[in-house]
Amino acid sequence: MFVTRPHPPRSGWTSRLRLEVQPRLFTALALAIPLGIAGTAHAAIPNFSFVGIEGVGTLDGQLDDRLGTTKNADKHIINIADCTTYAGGEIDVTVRIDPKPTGDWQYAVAYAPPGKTCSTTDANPEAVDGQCYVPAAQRELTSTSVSFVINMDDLIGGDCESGNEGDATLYVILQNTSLSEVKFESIIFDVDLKAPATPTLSEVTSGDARFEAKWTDTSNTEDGIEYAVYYGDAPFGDDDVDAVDSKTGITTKSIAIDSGLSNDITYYVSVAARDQADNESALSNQLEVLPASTTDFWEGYVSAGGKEPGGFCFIATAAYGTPLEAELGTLRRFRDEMLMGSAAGRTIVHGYYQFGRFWASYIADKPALRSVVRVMLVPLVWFADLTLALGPEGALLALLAVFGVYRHLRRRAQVHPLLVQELR
Amino acid sequence: MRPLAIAVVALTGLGLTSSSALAETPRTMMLELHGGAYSPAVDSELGGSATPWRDTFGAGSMTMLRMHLDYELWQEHGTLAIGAGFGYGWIDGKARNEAGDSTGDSVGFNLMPLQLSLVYRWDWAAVKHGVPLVPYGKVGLTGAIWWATDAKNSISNARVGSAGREGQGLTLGWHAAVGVMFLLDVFSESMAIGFDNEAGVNNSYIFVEFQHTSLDDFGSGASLVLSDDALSFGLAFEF
Repeated sequence: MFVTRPHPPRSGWTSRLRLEVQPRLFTALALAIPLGIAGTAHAAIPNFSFVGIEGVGTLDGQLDDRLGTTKNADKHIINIADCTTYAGGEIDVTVRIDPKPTGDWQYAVAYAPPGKTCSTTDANPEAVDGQCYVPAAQRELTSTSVSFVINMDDLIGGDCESGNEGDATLYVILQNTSLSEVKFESIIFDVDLKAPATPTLSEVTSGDARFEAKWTDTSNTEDGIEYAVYYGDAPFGDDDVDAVDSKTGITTKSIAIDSGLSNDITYYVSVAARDQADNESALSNQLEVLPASTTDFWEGYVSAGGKEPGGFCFIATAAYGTPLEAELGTLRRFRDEMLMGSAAGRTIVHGYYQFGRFWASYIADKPALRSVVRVMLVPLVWFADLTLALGPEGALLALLAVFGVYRHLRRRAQVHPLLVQELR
Repeated sequence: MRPLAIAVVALTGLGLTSSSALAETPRTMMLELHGGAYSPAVDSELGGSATPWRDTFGAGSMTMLRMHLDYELWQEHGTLAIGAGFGYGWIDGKARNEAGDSTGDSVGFNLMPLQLSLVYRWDWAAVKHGVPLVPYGKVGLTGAIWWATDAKNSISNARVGSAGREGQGLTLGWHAAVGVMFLLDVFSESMAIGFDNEAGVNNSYIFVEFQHTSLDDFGSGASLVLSDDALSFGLAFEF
């Protein structure tokens, strides 16, 4: 009296653990119970949960995360690389039914490769359309945990180069022998053995220690296609992609690579498409690019003799007259390496930026005042030097030590007036 | 001159018919939203020996958006206000290669002027007689934060020997502006009254403003020259 609901269309990243609740069952029950007709009841298994998957034998520790091996995982994906890795191997799947339903229950476990189904009418499943594998049938449910071994070749359906894609299904079926009541759950494995088509690398333009790559791809129209750009300083092929640099997870059809490159070195660039199951296409055609130094506005301004020093060290720049003084370098390092590392330091810098410029403008054309400020900045430069050399804690300890020595000498001076004169 | 005279008379007449709409809630502030172009005279510092700005950004101007808010201190024969504003302007260009040709590397320059202004608006005729034209002037101080970006969209850093010079900073200066506002309320008296009653906006204007900005650290000679004479247009709301 039950109806097998067809699986919904594939959508690789949606939940793959389905609770099969069949609305027509309730209609059947509603009719059967008042009429006293004995019928087969069916619903989802209460308190059912997915515990995990472990590799058996040669697959021990070899399972990829995308198989959904952890507790409550709701995506189980097998791609071309997995198919090859898992060939001839077995996995151990564990599910939990806790607490167990009351009464006498039998359970069965069955699985079918993509495009095939198993019957779920009782705890003795059979192939509906040719292929159904049954690791366990009509077993007494004595524990809250059920484990079973699955042959990966049977689950995947064989040929890894078939280019097929579809859902393999794992069934866990419970049957109450006295009430003829049946409940089941299905766990879907997204088997994707179809690699995406190869995109065409159309253009690679060079920049300053960078390049931009553009490609076209009219074949891969499915959702979730990403691209990976591979580049190296020597030509490479599909087998070398692990040995060259790459940028992955690209969802557009162009990308700028602007880190880790050197000017005046020829780079070879290829692109590949990657689908949601992490299947990757063959590498595209390969283009060469030669990054070379360029000059932006600021560099052009500075090289042309522009006097603006840049940056925000206003007062010190005004006082020392040129941004290239060693003292300014010290103060800048102190700002960047010490002050900017803490919230309090950043507040000080912010305040300085806010008000310092006005003082800097005021003293810029007043040589006498600049000299005064320069002298006033000396202790700050010393302190910055000390802090950069010893670190904040070291500088603090050094200052405390100096203070301690000073106090000690003062005490001695109070005891020995002659020493006071000596100190003076 | 005759068409101009006719236009002024017509506008005055239009305004006079709407003078009853000016019985309104107290006016305290003015918000101006500006849009315009800005072309800083950076290359002028180099006296024609080099033109890094033009080489990178061409003859185009920065797009500049500004906002100004002022508080009306005195409302007698016109309105005297003190206000502050900030803006953001940007321009994109192309880096050059060793031969001086443009490359594919996109670079940019960004300018964020902050202004304090004293404002006088001669709105006596508009308030008292419904003449919809309000000339005004502004004068004040400007501080502009600026930063130049390289092809990686980072702050540009030019090497001079072993030291670097950061392509960012703050430049101080002053500005003076004149402009004229056109009172939009005259087009729909009832809508203007409703805007005042419901949102407290007494008057709405469109305006054009000419601003001279002197931004070179008061002629320090060691500063990026970001001065320009620029037009801007926009909307203003008095509330």
